[in-house]
Amino acid sequence: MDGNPKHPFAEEEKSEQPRRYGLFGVSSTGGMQESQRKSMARWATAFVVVMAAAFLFLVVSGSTGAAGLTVTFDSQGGSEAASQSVLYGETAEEPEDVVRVGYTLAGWSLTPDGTQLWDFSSDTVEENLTLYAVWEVQ
Amino acid sequence: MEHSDVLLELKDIVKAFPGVKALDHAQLRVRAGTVHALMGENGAGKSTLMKCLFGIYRKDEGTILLEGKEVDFKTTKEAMENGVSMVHQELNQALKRSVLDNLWLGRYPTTGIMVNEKKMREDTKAVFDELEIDVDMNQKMSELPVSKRQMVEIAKAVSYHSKIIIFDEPTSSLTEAEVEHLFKIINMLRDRGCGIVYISHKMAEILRIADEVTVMRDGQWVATEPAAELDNARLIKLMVGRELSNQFPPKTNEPGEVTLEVEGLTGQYNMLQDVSFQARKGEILGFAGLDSSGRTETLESIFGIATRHSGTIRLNGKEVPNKNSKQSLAAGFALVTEERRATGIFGIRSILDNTVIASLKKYLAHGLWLDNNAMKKATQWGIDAMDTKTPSQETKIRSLSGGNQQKVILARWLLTNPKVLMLDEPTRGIDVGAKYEIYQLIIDQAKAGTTVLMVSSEMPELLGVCDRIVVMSGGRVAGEVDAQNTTQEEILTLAAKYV
Amino acid sequence: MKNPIRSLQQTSAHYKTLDNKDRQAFVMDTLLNNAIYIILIVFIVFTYTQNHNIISSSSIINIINLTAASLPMALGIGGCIVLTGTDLSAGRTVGLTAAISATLLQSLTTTNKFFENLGELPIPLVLLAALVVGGIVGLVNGFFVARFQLHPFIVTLATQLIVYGVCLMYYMANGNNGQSISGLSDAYKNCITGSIIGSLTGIVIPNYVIYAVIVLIIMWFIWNKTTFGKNMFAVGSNPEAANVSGVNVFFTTMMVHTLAGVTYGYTGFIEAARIGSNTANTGLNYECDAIAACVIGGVSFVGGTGTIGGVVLGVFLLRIIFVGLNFLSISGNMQYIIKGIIILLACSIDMRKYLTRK
Repeated sequence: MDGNPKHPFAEEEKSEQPRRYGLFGVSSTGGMQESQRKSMARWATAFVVVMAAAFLFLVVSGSTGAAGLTVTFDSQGGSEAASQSVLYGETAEEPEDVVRVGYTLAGWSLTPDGTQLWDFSSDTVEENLTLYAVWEVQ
Repeated sequence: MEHSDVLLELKDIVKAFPGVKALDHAQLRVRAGTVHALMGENGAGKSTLMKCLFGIYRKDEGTILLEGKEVDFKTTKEAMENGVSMVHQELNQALKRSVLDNLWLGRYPTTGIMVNEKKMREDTKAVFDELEIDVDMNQKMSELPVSKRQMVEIAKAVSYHSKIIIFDEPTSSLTEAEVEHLFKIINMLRDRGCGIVYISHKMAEILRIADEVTVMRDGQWVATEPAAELDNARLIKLMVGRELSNQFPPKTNEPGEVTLEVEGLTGQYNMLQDVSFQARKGEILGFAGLDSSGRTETLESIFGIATRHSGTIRLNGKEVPNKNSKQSLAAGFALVTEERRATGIFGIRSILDNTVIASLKKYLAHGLWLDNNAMKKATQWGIDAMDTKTPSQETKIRSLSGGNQQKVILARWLLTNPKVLMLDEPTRGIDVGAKYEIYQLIIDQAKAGTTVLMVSSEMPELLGVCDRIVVMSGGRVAGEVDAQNTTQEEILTLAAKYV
Repeated sequence: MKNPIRSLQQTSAHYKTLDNKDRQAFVMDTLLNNAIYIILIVFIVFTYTQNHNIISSSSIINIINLTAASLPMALGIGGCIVLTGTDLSAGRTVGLTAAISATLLQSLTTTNKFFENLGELPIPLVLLAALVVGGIVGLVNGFFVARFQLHPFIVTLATQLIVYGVCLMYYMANGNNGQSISGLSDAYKNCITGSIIGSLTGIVIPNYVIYAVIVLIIMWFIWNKTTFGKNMFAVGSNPEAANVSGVNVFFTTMMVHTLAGVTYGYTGFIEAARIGSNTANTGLNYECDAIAACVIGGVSFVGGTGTIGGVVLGVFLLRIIFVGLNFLSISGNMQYIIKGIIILLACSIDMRKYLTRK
């Protein structure tokens, strides 16, 4: 509280006081003089501009959307399968010509033990992931 | 009277608000070593003048000279630092802090970055001793009685080395002994060469303490005379003596039999004491009195938004409980409050919402949902009947002028078809043209048989619109007069009875 | 609802009357007041350039679904904001009612069934139970706010903790010992996440979207067509003036909070099935998104103003941004920061509108 006493006559302007503005009720704009309100308005304008700019900046700089997400394929002993770049929300393509001598390819799974099979027709990619080949003995 | 130096001079101050000229070439000259009283009715411009001095309002025209040099204070703090301070018993203080803090807040004496507590205490003691104030500087302000808090305010003003000290209604909460002490201090300050401005309604006090008296009326300077040459009668004449011009519509209402009987109204938390009166059908009953005479409290108590300790209200012979606004509305009462921005309008809402809020039940289709068309029709009726200037029904009410806002509120209450319409300062802050329209509306309502109670601080209004006038003073009824057969002097004399 | 064409006409007519300097100020004002919408358009365009899947039909349906899931709660909390208050207990109440709904509607064949011998309960009855529990929380909130004039922040902060405690205790009860609750009955799951529209038209929109529309209509009716709604806005705008005008401020305040509580109960009922597996943390921080959506949608903190359409728009916009951030593969940590900035942006626009009024 500064030394500027709230002028007693200012009490008469109780009817002029704008409503409390506060999510938590601790801030109050009651009893503001005109000059104070104008300067606060200028700060608010600056704040709007800064926040808008910050938002756009962070979105643009943080975005790796176009680069897409990476799906790595671990063939677990089979031939090479190239990793793919997939956009968020899209399906991945099942790699072709992945073979292993003495085994047939049963599918691809999120876990090495083959328990969470990945459905290439409907499952969409939402984060970087590795798919493990599931082999069955011929 | 010897010609002392003029310390403070306000020359030709003009301040206008939309539609209202609050100050019209007002003057004030305070000499050093004098107590200068400032008097006038409510709305005469005393407080507006002070606000212009302290920078709360920007004056439109005029000059303020402090010790011969022109000044233009932007804030109260700036005024205080230049030696002009104000003493008011409430509100100025941080009640939870100590006396010491209140004195030095914002200007603690420091050595380097640390507060110099020793110097602070020494300076405080010096001021207190000088003024013979007996207050423990470590006590919390809230623990002190009002009179002592006032002493602290005075000490604060003196510690700023104020040359001009303004006292605004300083004795309202003081006992006789405390008043004596206050006068002693004022005399001490005066003898030291300060210029004291003393604003009060209490004529007896003023004639005792003041050296000169300035009277204001309708924002204008009327007269400045030495107190020794004045008496009560002359003061009153100066305060009210104006021409009553023809600014009122013809009175076509005819009061009939008694409808409203109020007996022994005593307030629980306010100053009302045993207020009794009667009002008749089709009558416009005015309520006159000074600030804090209890007029607003009377209307609020009848309407149920101020708690009654005791008293009965009878409408057409039947007693009505009126414990809250809902009951009062149901019984046929309506209240247009004094401060429309604080307790009247819903600023952010539209004209339509503001108009229909008190009569919502009327617009229920099949008793289930609100019929938009019915509400629009009612709002349009309000706009047409009051001749309200607004771009549309959807306009936010806060963008209308004060006069038009008041019309919307009036429309709101008229839509409830009240039997008793209570108005508290219905034309405050409204331009002359709109005032006439509102007077016409009030008279029309009375003609249609509504009982109208009207509180007003404007004497011409009371005399021009009302049939009878109840004069209140200090929370009590001081007397009743017939508007046609009374004078402004008689009313003001009654108003000062229990002050 | 204001005719948008007429208001555009009025605006352009007004613009023509302004001189050069005022015109600049007018344009600036318009830009700043609608900054959120402008930012949003830029955002959508940018996101599309990075990942065109944002406009895919599955993505749009996803956005609609998520909007429908968070809408009822925003509508409820909107009422509290109109009263210049808030409600921090919303999320935890959703958690509690979700737990209650889930435990009462588990499939008969679930292992670890919460109420072991409970048969099949009629779904509407469980819905009613959720609404009642939510309503009670709201009633308690409203009572303390109305009777003791405590600020809703403090009251709902307290009830938030109490509800959370009750929820934790609930999860420990009956031998469940804090495990998550799943294995809901097929009837329940179909009711909520099944798709009538899907079976009729092939576009798979879950049923809870339809229910959300019903809630929307009910809330619109309450806000616009009842005396209660008018009273709510009056109290939010100026409680003293409302008191003078015959409004029962106490009752209105209490009922607004109670109504909000009912919407939380409804949301819990829906979420239990929508999520499928519930823990005591279900509903955590839901109120943040709801409040942010309201502010974006024009329900100002100064109170007394707001529209149903605005709340819908706010929820929708916020959801687009949240989904879009995923499509841009922005890291989870950065997403928190960006969400916070959006809320600050909405608040500062609101505050600025309030400060620059005439």
